[in-house]
Amino acid sequence: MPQTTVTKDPAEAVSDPVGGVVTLSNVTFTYGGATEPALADVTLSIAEGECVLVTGPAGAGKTTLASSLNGIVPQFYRGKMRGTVLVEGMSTKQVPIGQLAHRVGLVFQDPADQLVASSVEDDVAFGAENYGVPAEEIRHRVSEAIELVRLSGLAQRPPYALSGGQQQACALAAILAMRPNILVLDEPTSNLDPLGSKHILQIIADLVKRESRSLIVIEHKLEELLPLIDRIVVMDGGRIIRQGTPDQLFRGAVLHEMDAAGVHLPQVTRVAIGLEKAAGLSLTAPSGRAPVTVEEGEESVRSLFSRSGASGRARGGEGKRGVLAGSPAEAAAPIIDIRGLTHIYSGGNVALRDVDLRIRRNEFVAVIGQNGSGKTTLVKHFNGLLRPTRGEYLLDGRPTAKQKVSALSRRVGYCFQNPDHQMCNLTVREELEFGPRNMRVPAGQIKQRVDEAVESMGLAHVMEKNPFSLSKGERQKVAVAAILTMQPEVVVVDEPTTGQDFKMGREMMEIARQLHRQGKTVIVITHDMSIVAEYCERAVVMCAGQVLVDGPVRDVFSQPKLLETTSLEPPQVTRLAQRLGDLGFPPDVLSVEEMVRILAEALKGGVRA
Amino acid sequence: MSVEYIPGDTIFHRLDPRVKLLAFLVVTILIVSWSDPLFMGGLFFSICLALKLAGVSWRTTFGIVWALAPVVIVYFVFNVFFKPITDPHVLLELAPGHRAPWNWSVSLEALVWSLAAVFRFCCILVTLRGILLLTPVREIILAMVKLGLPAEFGVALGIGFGYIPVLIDENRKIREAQMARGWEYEFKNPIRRLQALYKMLVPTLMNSMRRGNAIAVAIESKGFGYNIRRRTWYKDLHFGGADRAATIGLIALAITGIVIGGPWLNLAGFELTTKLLLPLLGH
Repeated sequence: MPQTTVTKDPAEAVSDPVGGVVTLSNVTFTYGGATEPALADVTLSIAEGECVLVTGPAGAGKTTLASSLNGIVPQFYRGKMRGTVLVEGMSTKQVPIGQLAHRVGLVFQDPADQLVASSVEDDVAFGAENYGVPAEEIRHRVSEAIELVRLSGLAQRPPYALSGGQQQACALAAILAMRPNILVLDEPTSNLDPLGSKHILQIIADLVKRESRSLIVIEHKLEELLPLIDRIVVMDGGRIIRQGTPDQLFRGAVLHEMDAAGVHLPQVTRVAIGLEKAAGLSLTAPSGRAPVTVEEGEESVRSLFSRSGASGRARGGEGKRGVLAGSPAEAAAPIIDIRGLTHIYSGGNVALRDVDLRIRRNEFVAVIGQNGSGKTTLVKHFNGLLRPTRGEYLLDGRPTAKQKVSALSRRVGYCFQNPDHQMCNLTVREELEFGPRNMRVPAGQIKQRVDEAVESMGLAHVMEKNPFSLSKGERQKVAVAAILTMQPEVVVVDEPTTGQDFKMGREMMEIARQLHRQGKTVIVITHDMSIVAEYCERAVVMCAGQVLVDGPVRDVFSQPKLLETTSLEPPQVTRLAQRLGDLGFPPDVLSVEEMVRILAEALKGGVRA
Repeated sequence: MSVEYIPGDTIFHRLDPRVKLLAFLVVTILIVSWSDPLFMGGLFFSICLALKLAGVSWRTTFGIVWALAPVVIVYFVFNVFFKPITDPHVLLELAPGHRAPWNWSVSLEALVWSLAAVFRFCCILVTLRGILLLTPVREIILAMVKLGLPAEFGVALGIGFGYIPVLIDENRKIREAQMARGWEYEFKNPIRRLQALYKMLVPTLMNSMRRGNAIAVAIESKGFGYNIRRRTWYKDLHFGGADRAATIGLIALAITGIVIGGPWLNLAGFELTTKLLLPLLGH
């Protein structure tokens, strides 16, 4: 098979001290203009064919680590670098990116930033073309890569017309067609919906099984990946704090340490940690480490129960099922009242079909469903960005057909997914004043509103800065604060956790919870079921433009079969409880804490050795 | 103007993009050589018919003309009043006694000339639109690279085209986010609407910069900077028999057009239609 040969200048090849295909020796890197290093004294060696998972909280240095492997750091993103990164003996400080990229294929978080051509096959061919691979060989590689990432039949489509998951698969195929020896995936699923994530995780599993190249995956979805990998590298604050096999790291004090550092662990693992803290009992998978998957969780609980005394039968649940029915909220008039809503886009695509939905004041509602199910189309009607093709939308009992977006948005605030689309001023202060100014709020009141929002969001230190210069987390906060200064009664938050770090996602949801406590009606669109379970009262499940289920979160998640029809899954901990129904576990356990409580209660009698 | 490609396997799809660029050149030669609306209209409808045969709906073809109708109308009116005519057959006198710098009257000749001018404009529109609809962007760019455009520019151009839909989508999101904060775009007055647009400036610029950076990283990571001189194209152009035949046909058409319209025969000047219409006016 013809392969382009990369000419390695012998002078550039530095001898490799450890013998890995990738070796980092005491690497410290500080971005130009930054004070703190993004990587601090990192030493790491990756062997030929090894599959390594890198994880850790936001700001841990994971992306910088990935970018340092093909020379993007320090050649494109400049800064101060100490130590050496060797890729197959080539120093990333000296060998040009183009030459390194041929050996190290990098797939980034946001698929939209990586697609460069007008059709899928052109995009997949792009890299191989740059390396001067003969046309015949490229055609062969393109069809092979497209098949491998499960995009057969879509080769002629423009990439922008694909779903997020398909776009990311296309970006991955483009790298595979370059035939790199080392593949690096930087959070490839964090911008995707559950179906898209599943698609990418399946491809990763296929790759691990059939390929011999080295694979480095930066990911938070440990449940799916742990069974596939050889080694985990845990980073925090630019350092590698732990590394080892899953069996070495997922046990005892090391696990507690990772949890404390903010590593996003699977819920089942967190149940094991919680139970050990609360009752001194350890849940272990057969291999002796803490459980990671639902299956391991089930097995470990059953084994613990079989060793426990006769009292070991779970009782519980919070007893709040059907909380909406008959509650005072039921009697109140709805603030958002959608009647027979059908929305057809100009191209003829029917996005919503005869939807009825009533949301009462001070409800905390999650709208869930796959991309394309109509969630965003639905909520965009709430402030008039979209208008019904058929049907009616009443806001607080009044028809909205003749009200402008500017009038509706005084009452319904809408936080968009990407804060960068919302910023349109050069200082944070102007940004926060923008909404109330448009509403012609008197100057004195604007100041008061801005002060309040700044106080509650903790933004005082950035008021005179350019919003675009802030960190992603801060930008998201500014975007929310800019809606709060308009003092809407209803707050819609569109995918607060997509593309966000676990901790930041939680922070956003805490803000939403605060708003709800202040009496606001909060509507969240999200793909993260554990967030729905922990924060929301009511879930509206959308599927193919219609409401599939609508009810209290506990009721909705107690129907896994129904959710499955739209490829949604209840949170891991809920699924675990549902599998343990025969032991008395209720089917609507919503949080890790709840599960730990039920387990501790049931096992109070003690466990036989 | 959108850049969506309509997939298909007609002769118009299969022609080498260089032939299509030649066709554009020939259309340009013809409309410069001719100025009679009968010839020009004939050319316009022939192009439209060719597009129809290639699978482009009438709606799509005329859509571009319709979208630019205001420009077409202004262009027509401009020509009626600015085309210098010697010895005009005046139909409507606006300000008797006035002369240059512009016509203070509507004459038959000016109307005929302006109609031809509108067809000229529309010929260019539908030809360009047709080429973009029937040729993948990469082929057009590859043709330009083969004709001497540096490969770096070609690749950059291709990426630019690929991002047009992404940018349109991004602009929509920015607009919606601002509307959701009470900024008004829903003005009937087009000037107010234009004024409202300035708020797009900061986010559009900032996002373009961010995206530009991300794309640069992405293409560097795909070996764009490796060795552009040695770059290959996996679907190379193939200049076949049909292309040769079409090239000969197009060149013949251009020569015929020049001969008919040139100063020697001058058969395609706007005087032709004028002469045909004069009897109707009783002259």
